[in-house]
Amino acid sequence: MSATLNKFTVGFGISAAITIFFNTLLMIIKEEIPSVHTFMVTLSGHHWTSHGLIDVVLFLLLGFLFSKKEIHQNISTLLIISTIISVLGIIFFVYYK
Amino acid sequence: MFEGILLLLHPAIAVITMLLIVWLIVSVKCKNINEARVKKLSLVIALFMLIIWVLAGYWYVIFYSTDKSVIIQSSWSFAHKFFMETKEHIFFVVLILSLYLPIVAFKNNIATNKTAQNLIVTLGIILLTLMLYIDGAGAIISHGAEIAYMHKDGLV
Repeated sequence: MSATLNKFTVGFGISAAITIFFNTLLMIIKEEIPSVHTFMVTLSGHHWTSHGLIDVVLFLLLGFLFSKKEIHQNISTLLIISTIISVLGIIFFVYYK
Repeated sequence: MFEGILLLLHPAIAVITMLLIVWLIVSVKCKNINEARVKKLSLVIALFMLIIWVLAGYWYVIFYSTDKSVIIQSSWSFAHKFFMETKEHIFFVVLILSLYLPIVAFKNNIATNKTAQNLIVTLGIILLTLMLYIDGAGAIISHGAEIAYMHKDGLV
């Protein structure tokens, strides 16, 4: 039974965790800074479309970047923590905005 | 007509995707893992999520602004202010995690790698939890719009 993950799995796992966290951060930034919101509208015609495209591009870029090196990381735990923090961040920010 | 079909199509595909995720989890937890099935399921889940992004995104960008203006003036304004605002951003978490699924399935020997198996189960559980929230939020927004239009038309 193998217990180690392939380097692409680790690299893209770390990338997913960072992108998920960045997603919440970008939401807060665009809601708080109107110029960022306007810039995102000009990118694709709608801030939400740009938001998704930026997330996907970041996920792919960071994924390939982190896959270049052998990194040992518990990806499941990392993704659970990242998702909980990010989702709670979204919920609290929207609730208190 | 097109607007209505588009509106109903994306949650319908989302429900099918949730069932596929359950199938994926069960497939990984099986004693004899069918690796080809795990790969196919992970790929279809990612593909369906991309389709949902396009369908829901098109409806949200093109049609939703009219409903939004009616909802936020009604007593159900929270349907947009809280549920749509959280739903539209939590969706990207789901999108990223579902795009990650095929990478885990294709780059590891799922039949023998216990860590990769556990990772797929973890991803599946996170995806199901968030998708259930998104579906519930969608139902609240839909009901909010219904009530808002009834108020606007003087039916309530």
